[in-house]
Amino acid sequence: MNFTELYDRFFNRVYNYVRYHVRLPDETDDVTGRIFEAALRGFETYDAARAPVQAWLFTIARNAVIDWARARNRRNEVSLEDAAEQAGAEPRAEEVLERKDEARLLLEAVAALDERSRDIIALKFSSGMTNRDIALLTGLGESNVGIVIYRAVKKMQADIESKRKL
Amino acid sequence: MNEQMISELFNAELDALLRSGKERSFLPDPGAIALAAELARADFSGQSLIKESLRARLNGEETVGFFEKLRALFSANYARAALAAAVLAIALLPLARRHAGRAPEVPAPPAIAGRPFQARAPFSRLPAAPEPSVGGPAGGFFASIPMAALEAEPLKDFPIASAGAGSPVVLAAGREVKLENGSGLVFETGSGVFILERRVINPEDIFERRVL
Repeated sequence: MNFTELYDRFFNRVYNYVRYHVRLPDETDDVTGRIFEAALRGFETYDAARAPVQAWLFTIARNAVIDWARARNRRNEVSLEDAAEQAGAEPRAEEVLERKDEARLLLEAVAALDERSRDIIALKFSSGMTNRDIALLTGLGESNVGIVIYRAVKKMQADIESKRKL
Repeated sequence: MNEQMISELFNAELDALLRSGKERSFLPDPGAIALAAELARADFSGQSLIKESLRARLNGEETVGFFEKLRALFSANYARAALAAAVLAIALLPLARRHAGRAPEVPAPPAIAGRPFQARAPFSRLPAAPEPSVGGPAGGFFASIPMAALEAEPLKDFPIASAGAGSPVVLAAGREVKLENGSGLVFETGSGVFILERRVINPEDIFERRVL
């Protein structure tokens, strides 16, 4: 597999993984670009015998997201989107209408998860990795990953249902 | 059914869903597996504004990368010098092989010219040097220069024999004798006789005076 094939095969997955964390499309593009630039730099030294390509690529992706989150915390930046969400426990009527979009509801539900659950949900539904692979990547136990996924889905389910009732 | 068991069942159904893409029934909680199916179908990559441009840029970097590395390699002076030396060596190799049979003429020093080399007894025991191979790889560049035979005076017997540690010379007898410009003292040892001269000398007798 050359790098272009890797890009074509994994771009959407990596983008979705980043999108669950970053949420803003512009910044998602920025972080995704950095991930693939880093992947290109390390592609010559990647050893397929040591790890599957998706585990290698999503390790780079996780590190990029962590770096992004740290930099964001250092800047103490709050995006307008986040600010609106944090400010309003009671969402405005037009915002409720906007949130009817299913994708937006999903993103908001994922964003409402704690950091660890969000990362595992993003890995599970974006990378195509098994619970065992995710456990290896995150350092958790395999059964623990399964429980985190189940609890996160239940929490998201409750969150989305409550917003749909509005 | 506790949470652990429900979780295991849910994850088994979820893995099957992700593999096949078909939503399965999950009796303990149908809503949870429905939401998981929504998540599995969700694709936000259509919102990306850089997908194609990033692909083109990275593809370009990947292609250009090889030539860039090659160019960077030869931009260094040492690499240029090494390359020039290698090319020169390869170019001169056939020339060196062509002249391999003819050794260059090296004039012998006048003092030893015409004298055949004679190996003395000690040298004759040395292993004979191999004949220079005509047409050998280095035969064209190097040639032996005739060399004068090594000569040495045989060691003469010294009259003082070793008398053991702490007493190298043993004085057997001593008497004063008259010499041409003074006197001398004769020492006799067990192995020989020495005369210690005592006379007046000038500095020129010892030192050579030179004028700059």
